[in-house]
Amino acid sequence: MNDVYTQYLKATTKIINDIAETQMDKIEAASKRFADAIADGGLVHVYGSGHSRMAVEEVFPRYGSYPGFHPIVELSMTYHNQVVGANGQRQAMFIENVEGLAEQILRNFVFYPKDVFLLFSTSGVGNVVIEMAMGAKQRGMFVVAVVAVENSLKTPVKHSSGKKLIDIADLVIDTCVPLGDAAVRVPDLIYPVSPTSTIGNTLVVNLIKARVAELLTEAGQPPLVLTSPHFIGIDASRAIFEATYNDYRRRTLRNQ
Amino acid sequence: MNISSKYVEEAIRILREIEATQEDKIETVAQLFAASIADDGLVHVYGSGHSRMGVEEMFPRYGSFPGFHPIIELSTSNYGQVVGANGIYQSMFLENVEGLAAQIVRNFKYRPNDVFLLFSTSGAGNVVIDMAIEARKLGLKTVGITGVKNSGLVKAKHSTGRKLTDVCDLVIDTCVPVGDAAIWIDGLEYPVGPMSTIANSAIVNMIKVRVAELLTLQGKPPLVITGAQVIGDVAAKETFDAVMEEYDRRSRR
Repeated sequence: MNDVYTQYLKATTKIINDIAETQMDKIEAASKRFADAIADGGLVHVYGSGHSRMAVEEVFPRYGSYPGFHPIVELSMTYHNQVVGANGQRQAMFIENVEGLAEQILRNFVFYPKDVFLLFSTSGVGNVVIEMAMGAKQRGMFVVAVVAVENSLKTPVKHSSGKKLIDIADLVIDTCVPLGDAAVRVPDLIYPVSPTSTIGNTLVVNLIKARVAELLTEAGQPPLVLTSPHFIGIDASRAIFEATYNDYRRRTLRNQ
Repeated sequence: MNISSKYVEEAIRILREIEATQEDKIETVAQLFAASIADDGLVHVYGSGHSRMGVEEMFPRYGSFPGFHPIIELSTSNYGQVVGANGIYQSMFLENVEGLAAQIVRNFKYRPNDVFLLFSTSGAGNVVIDMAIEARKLGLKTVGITGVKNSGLVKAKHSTGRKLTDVCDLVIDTCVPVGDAAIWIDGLEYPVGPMSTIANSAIVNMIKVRVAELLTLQGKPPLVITGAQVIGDVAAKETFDAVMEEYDRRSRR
């Protein structure tokens, strides 16, 4: 096999093993927090800027996922597919560091103290995600951050408070991705390629989702799960989609 | 007079005021745009918030033609969700963040004969003001379409203390009343019925028809997006494709 393939597969296998060996206690603690909140009618609010938004989408909605999580996807910082031009990457990378914006996002929603926040940031230094954590804490919520810890420690701080996400979150789960995220060295190319954080984030998300589903089921509150017709047939699949979305609407409809 | 008629009357009054007081400026702007477009330049068009509707009115749509470059930033103009993710709180915050306009402007290539056309009813939004400042740094002419009476009473927010009227080479007044909303209802303490969209649209289309005429007079008639009802299915599709190709050619730099 070509060496670059081997390098990437080794890097990702190492990440998965590292998460399994070092992060499971934290993942268990986060899962219990989330299950408790969801069982009690609370919500797990989920946010990430830039590519960290992919992890938000991994949480809910998709096959094998269930209500209780509230994805917050802000297009100004995550819809950069135009790359260059209107709605380009330059604007997104500028906006994700504008202090004050997070509060403008947060003020849209009704929060309960029993809610939890789940935040993703590979660098852990984006000003918007940091202020999402600060705003959540000010509102009395528990904050879980999924961060590439080594990467974050070596990234210069940008926020005016001098803090990084790992300084604010109540619980930090390390994605165990290498410094700089990209993991493959190509001969004669001075830049590393092939980032690994999406795989690290996705693994953490699905470990949490599997365990929260188990905890809710054990608690006598099995979640409504978006399920493929391959498992339950077309009619049942359609019905569970309707029921799941109605349950999502019910959970997110809140009064002040 | 019923309340709907009051709105119509006020709208007509504003249109007449634009015609009576802004025609010279509109003519100057149309000449400027036609000269730029005839010379393969682009008229870059931007507005935050509802002023984005002025941008969409320009191009692309039926009766419009290439030469205009709409810059639609979702972060400052996509608030259809109202409350929630991508809500209007975020949009109204971002349209006042200094520095964002420079990030938008740097995505594009400019030529010295390009022009910037900017919409802002308040004339006090920091992003639109910065767009004008950035355009002038590039040596480009700037045209602002703003509610001058309204803007005069709005507090400046920009760190330079300036408003759009202070940073544009040419200003067209939309003649909308202070606060934009024009209709008072007995027993309601707030005015309703904003006028700026009608005024912006009228000015945009006054400019467009005159630019089309000027280009045609110069022997460079523009390719115009035209409905099948007017020229038939086949010609409408062919014209549309030709307009898209022409737009692509002009904006590929």
